[in-house]
Amino acid sequence: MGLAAYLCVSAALFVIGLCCILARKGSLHVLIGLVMILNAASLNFVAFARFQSEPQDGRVFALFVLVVGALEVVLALAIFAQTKRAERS
Amino acid sequence: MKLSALMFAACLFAAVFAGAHFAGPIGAAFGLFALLTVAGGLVALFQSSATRGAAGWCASLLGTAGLFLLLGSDFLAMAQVLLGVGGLLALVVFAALLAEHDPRERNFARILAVLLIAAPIAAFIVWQCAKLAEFTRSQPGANSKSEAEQLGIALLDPARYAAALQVVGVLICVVLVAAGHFTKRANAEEPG
Repeated sequence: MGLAAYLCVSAALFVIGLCCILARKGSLHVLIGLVMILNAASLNFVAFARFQSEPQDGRVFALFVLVVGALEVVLALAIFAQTKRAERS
Repeated sequence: MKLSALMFAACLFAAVFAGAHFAGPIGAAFGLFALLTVAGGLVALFQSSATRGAAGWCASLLGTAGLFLLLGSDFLAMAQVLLGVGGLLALVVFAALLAEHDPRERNFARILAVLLIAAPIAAFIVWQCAKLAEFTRSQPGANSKSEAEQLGIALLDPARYAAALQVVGVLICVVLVAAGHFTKRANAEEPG
């Protein structure tokens, strides 16, 4: 498959993530939308890297994006859990 | 629910057969993973329940991992499944169980309006990227080393990404300490 096919999937994922952030009010949906946008960026990095002579650069960036996305979710969920507890007490 | 399942099955068959028609078995796999990625994202976008949305998100993560595999990044695909599906999804489902379900939070008109605004922007981005893609090779380059070996060499090379790897390590430490601090403070504030 060519590069354009991967770019189309990545763009679709980006739009869906953006809509999740802009159109939903629930904090979990916003978080899921953010991670989807990061996934779209990773897919772009890996796809462009695949069609270059030095594929490691894009893959390293995709790995960093994956780690940063995971950290973002961990921190956001910690804040979310604390907010829920504060609401209950 | 039955109608949406039937529509999904029809789209799945269409994507797989179209991919197989244009690019053989690789195309069929691409159709399957691309549809899984986009359809999972759409489920996460349109579902009012956070738990079902997280299930759609899981499908999207698995589809992306499959696309990574097709792009020759087996290590990234494994990391995506382990970190995304195994770790993050468990956390999000746990938080979804804590959260109260609010059916009025989803507004179809708002979602469709944002989709209509964002889709032309994405089409413009793809068009620009496709112009950029003309400068890249049409065929992927062959490399004898495994992807994990290449990644390891690039990450530990002081002239390339060793410093960035240290920064990411510090970031992980800071975020874990901050998350622990939040949880500990919440525990200390609870009466009794």
